[in-house]
This record gives sequence, structure tokens and C-alpha cells, in this order.
Amino acid sequence: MVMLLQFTILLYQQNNFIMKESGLILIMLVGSLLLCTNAWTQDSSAGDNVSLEISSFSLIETNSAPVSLSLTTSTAGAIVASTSNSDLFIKISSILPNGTNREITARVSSGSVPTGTNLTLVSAPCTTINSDGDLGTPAATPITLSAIDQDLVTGIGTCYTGTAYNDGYQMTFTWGPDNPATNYGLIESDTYNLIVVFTITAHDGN
Amino acid sequence: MKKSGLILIILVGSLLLTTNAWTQEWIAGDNVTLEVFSFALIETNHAPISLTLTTSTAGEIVAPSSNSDLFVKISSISSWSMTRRITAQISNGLVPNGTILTLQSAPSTTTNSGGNLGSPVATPIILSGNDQILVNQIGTCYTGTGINDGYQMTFTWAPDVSTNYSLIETITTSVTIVFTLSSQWWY
Repeated sequence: MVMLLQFTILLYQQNNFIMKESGLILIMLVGSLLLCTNAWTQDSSAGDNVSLEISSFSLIETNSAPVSLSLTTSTAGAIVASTSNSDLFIKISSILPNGTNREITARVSSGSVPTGTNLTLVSAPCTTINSDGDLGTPAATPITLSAIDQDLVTGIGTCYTGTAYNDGYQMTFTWGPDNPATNYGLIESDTYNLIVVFTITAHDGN
Repeated sequence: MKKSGLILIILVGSLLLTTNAWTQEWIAGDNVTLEVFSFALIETNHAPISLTLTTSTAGEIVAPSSNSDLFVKISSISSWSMTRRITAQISNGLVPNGTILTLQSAPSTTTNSGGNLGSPVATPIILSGNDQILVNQIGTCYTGTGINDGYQMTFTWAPDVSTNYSLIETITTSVTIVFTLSSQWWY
């Protein structure tokens, strides 16, 4: 009985040792797993190229408002009065390289201004409601329209004016006698049709 | 003798009981270890992405340009304590001045996929040099390997309305976008 008891105690002690050893192994195993887990936290990545392109371009259009001017007076003895119209708006969109500019120019492409008169044109600064960017600066004084392009707006960069009917650069045409002291006798009654062409130039880096 | 006889009976009985024990079947055991490692794989379909800003109407701002050709494919085995997420950042190149490049993921395609494919974030991210989350809560899953399998990515390039439009210049450039599948632990 004593021997049996001693054997039982010995077995228990061995089991206890085995349990302790198992615990140690378990700790080592968990530790290894944690180490492995840290390795698994590495991120995986994949890449792709995206090409972005903005080409230089410019677009110009008017609101196609009819412009009609008449020279007349209602006072006997008076010279015919100059007449103006500001219905026309010019809309543009422009993208251009850094450090370059565009201009809006105007000329008469068809017909001619009647003798004894002149037709001038001046641009207002661009409307601001629907526009953004470098919209340039209008020439300070009206140009006298001719068959040769003259600058109306200079220093235009990347911009857009808006597309509404009254968005853009408001143009004011003024028609009147030209040096009436000497040329008034050249004015004749008639109806004259002219075509005025607006151009937005290539950027001055070209 | 009577006492000795009793002991003998007990001893014989014990032996018989032991014999009964020996009649039990012998069983041999062996451990079978099954192991699935946690892993994550990610790849794109390498679709070329080309975006152009322009307009065809005078007075109009350049129109945003979008491209949805790129698909991101993943395979993921995760554990109970972990989910994964897909992030994106610009690793090379810059988005041109005056513009923004946004990116949004659609939910994974379902034709060839399975598992917990996660949820794309609701609003597009504005790409920058820092990782931002595109898809969250990805578990164990696969997306399929076809060219149009996985998460369809929509790139949108547009003028940055918070800055002056004049910052936009004629340019041709390239940016590299890196997609990362990373782990989120819950403990």
C-alpha cells in the first residue's frame, strides 16, 4: 500500500512536471504565433499609372445679338447724333501654358464703314457672375474698326466667361460722324451691313 | 484460513476485473494539423488611365473627366480579430495645379467573388500623398481574377473650384497611384 501510494505521488509529480512543461510550450507557441502575426501585418500594395493631360485650347463665341445703329437727329440744325449699342457679349474659354497670354481682337471682315463716319468698339471687363481665371484687361480707349485686327482685350490667361446670354465681355459699338467739320458732306443715306470678326489669338508662347 | 480465503477471492476478483479491462480495444491516435495562414494579395488589371480636361463650348469651364477602367483584385484570409482595408495614395507625381483628382471604389463585382468583400466609402477621396481609405471591413474573401473582376475604381479629374481657375495650365503629366491592402486589428 505504501509503495502504491509512493508510486501515485511520483506519477502526480511527473504529471505536474508535464503540465508545467506543457504550459511553457504553450507560451512559446503563442509567442511564436504573435511573432508570425506581426509578420503578417505587412501591407500588400499594387500600383497603377494615371495620365493627366490638359491641352492648350481656346474657344470664342458671341451671344449673336443683332446690332443695329442709325444716324439721325430730331433737331433742325443739329448734326446727326452718335449712336451706341451694347447688346453684344463675347464668351471665351481658354487654357494655355504658364506665362503666356492671349488677346481678343476685332476687325471688319465684310463691308466697310460708310464714308464720313466711323465705327468704334470698346470692351467692358468680363462679367464676374459665371466666370473665373485670368480674364485679361480691356483696352482703355475704343478702337476704330477697320479691316485690320486691333486689340480689344489683352492679358487673357486660363479662364472661362460663363455661357449665359449676358455672360462675357460686353461690347459697345458707337457709330458717329467722322471729323464732321471736313467730312460731313460725305455722309449719304443708305443701309450698310458689316461683318465684324472677333478673334482670340493663339497664346503668345507660340 | 477463512480470512486468507477471503483475500484470495478478492485477489482473483480483482484479476478478473483487470482482465475485463484488458478486453477494451486498443486505439492509436495521430494529430492532424490544419493551418491556414493569414495573407493578403492585391493587384490591379493594369488598365491604362488617361484623363483630359477640355470643353467644346465657349465660355464653359473645362468639364470633369472620369475613367472607370481600373479594377483592383484581392485575395484575403483574415482572422476573427482582424479586418482589412484598401487605401490609395499618390506615390509619384503631382496632380496639376488648380485641379483635383478623386477616386472612388464601387462594391466588388459578384460574378467570380466570394466572402466578406467589405464596404466602399461613400464619398470619393481626393488623392494626395497620404493613404486614404477606399474600402473598409474586408474579411476573408476573393474577388476573382478576370480583367473586370474586383473593385471598379472611378478616377475623376476636375478643376478645383476652391482655387483660382487661372492656376490651370497646359500640361501633360503622369501620377502613380499605389493601392494598399492593410490589416486592422481589434485587440
